[in-house]
Formats: sequence, structure tokens, C-alpha cells
Amino acid sequence: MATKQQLIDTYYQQIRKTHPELELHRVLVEQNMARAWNQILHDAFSKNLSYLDFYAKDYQQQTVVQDFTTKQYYTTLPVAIAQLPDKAEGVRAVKDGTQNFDTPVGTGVKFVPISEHEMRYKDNIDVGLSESSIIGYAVRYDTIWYDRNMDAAQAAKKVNLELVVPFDVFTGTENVPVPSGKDERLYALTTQFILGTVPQTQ
Amino acid sequence: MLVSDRPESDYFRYLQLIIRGFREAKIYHLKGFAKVAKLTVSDIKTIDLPTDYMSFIAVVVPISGEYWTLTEKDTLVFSQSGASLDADDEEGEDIEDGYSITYGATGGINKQGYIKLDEVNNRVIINSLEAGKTEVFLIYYSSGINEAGTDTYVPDVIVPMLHFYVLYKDAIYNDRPYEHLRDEYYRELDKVRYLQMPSLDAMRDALYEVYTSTPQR
Repeated sequence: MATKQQLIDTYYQQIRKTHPELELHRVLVEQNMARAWNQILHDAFSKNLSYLDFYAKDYQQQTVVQDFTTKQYYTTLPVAIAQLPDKAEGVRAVKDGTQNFDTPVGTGVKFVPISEHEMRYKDNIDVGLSESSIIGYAVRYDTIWYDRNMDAAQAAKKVNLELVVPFDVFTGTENVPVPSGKDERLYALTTQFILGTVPQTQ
Repeated sequence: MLVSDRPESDYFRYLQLIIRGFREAKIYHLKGFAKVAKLTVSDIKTIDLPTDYMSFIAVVVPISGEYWTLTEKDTLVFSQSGASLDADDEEGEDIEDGYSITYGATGGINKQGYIKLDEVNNRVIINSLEAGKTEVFLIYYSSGINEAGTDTYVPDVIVPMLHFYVLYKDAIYNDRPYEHLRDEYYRELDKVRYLQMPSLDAMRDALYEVYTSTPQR
């Protein structure tokens, strides 16, 4: 696995050989590599998003607060997330903030992605009435909204998040998990975006 | 979710289908779906129907080790406000059943009480309970789906059937070919029905019941 800095440096080396006429600013390369990385994640995992877990970063002990007017509980995302074709978007997992497999504590509660319209419908049907230990969450823009099964006691425990983040969220020294076999594709797509050619879909 | 490798975002949709499948199994395919709940009669002489209530069997009280059924009577006067009993309108008044135990007296009087089913308002109206009694037992068909906070037990033998129920219905709701899934569902259902058949002892007893010592012609 390479760091973000290494990926960009390697790209510079390649592009100088293949397109010596181009003089590229680092910011431009980073922006287009970010677009390429999103495209690769989408192409590689749109058929089965469960494999995306490997690419998720941990953000622990995130606060759950209650909206003053609607009384609905929510968590503000600590960073931007990758947009993916799934209700959970780039939020691959939400877990009880006190989770401990030894004790065990916090393992009985399950957080499940749900769309906001499903959240509205489910309250008065069997699935909403029969289950209180499964908390639905809907991701909207920069916020995770929880369904009615989230209460003050559960909110006080905070949540641990596993997020698939865009390329630009990684720092230069952080390892960027490019899906195996997709390194060349990352560079090719970045060049295509820079040159303005239409990327070929897989 | 584990065996089908479906995305977690389908969880609630599948859970709803599982609940429906389990309810259907409880109504049509599994034994022992009648349930008894001990309920306290409210100040306005009603009992609330439980959340897993599907349909009515009886309201009973225990007498000498047996359940005694309260009689359904549609003419009972009950609370119109749903909050209190209006004495002017005789709401909740006990029925004046004059009775005697002499020769020639007719029956049809239930000294233990009467009920009126009010499913639309999710309750049963109780009347003329014996003095001092505050609790009754409701016998009802249960959906088998317990409310939040109480575990719902699903017999292991029906799990494969439920899986195919979910896949079959999911295919129908999402306009996908479903015939092969329907066939698989009925195959699994047959296995469950086979296990629900009466035991050999029960069938032998049923046969013996029609035997008498009188000569058969």
C-alpha cells in the first residue's frame, strides 16, 4: 500500500514520460486523482458493497445529539464521505461507542442503513413495532440521522463510525488503499480526467 | 443476510418480509398458535388487545381448575368517551340477570360475565364480572410476533422455508422472475407440513375413539 504522497509522486514520474509537454500543478493532479479514485471504488464495488469494508477508516467516539425542534437524534460526519450507490453511502458501519467484545458490552445493538422515506414508513408497521435493538440510520449530506429506536441512553454512549472517505481527506503520509490490480487504472483515469477525455467504463 | 450476501441496507425490508412469512406460518402451517394473556380490567371496564393479537377466541375466567367462557353480548352499554363511564347513560352498568335454580328455570345466564368485542378500538368490553374480580384471561390467535423488548422464538425447522418466502416475495415485489423461488418455497413448506402431521399415537387414539364394544354391522 502506498501513501497519498507516493501515489502522486509516482504519477508525476509516469506523466512526465508519457506526456512531457504537460506542466501540471500538484493541486490539479490531486483533484483529478480524487475523481479517479471515486470512479474506481464505484466500478469495483457497485456490485457488492460489502467488500468496501476494507477501505473504510475508523472515526471513534462521535457524539450523538438531539435536534432541538424535531427531537430526532443525529451525528455530524467528522469528514466528507465517498458517495456510493447505496443507502449507507460511504458510511460502512455505525457501532455502539462502548462496544467491547470481552465484557461484552454494546454488542447487542445493531445499526442498519435505511433511506429516510423507509424510516418514515416503518414506524407503524411490524418491523418498527417489533424491534427496538436495531437502530436505522439514514445518511444525508454531512449528517447521519437515526430512527426512533435511538434514545437518550444509547445516544450517551456515542458511536464509532467506519467511513469510506474521498481521496482528498487522506493526508500525504497516510496509506491510500487502492483496490488490488487497480493502480494502473488509477493513473490512466487520472490522466483521462486531466486531459478531458471521456473515461472508458469497465 | 449472511447466506444471501445481500446488502445490509435491505435489512429492514427483509425483516418485514420475514415477519409476514412467520405470521403466515403461524396461521396456516404451525401448531399451537393460540395464546393466553392475563389482563387487568380497566376503570372503564375494558381490556386492551395485545400487539400480537390477530383474532379472537375467548375471554375466560378460571373456576375450579378450568376456564369458564364469558358470553358475547352485543347489547352491552359501554363508555362512549373512552375515558370514563357516564352513569346517566348506564355505561358499564351490570346486566340485571334475574335467575332461579328451581324446576322449570331456563338457562342462558352467565353469572361470570359478558363481553363485547370492539376490535376497531383495539379492546374488549367487559361487563357483569363477579364482584371482586379484576382480571380476565384473553385467549386469542397470536401473530407470534412479540412487541419490542420481548424475544420472538422462531422454530429452527421453519427457517429454510422463511428464507425462500422472503426471496419469493421479494422477487414479486420487485418485478423479477419468481416461479423457481415459489417452487422452492412450497418444497420447504411441504417439509414443515410433514413435521406438523399428527403423531402415530394421536392417529391411533383417533381410530380408537370410534370403536365401541357394541357389535359392528
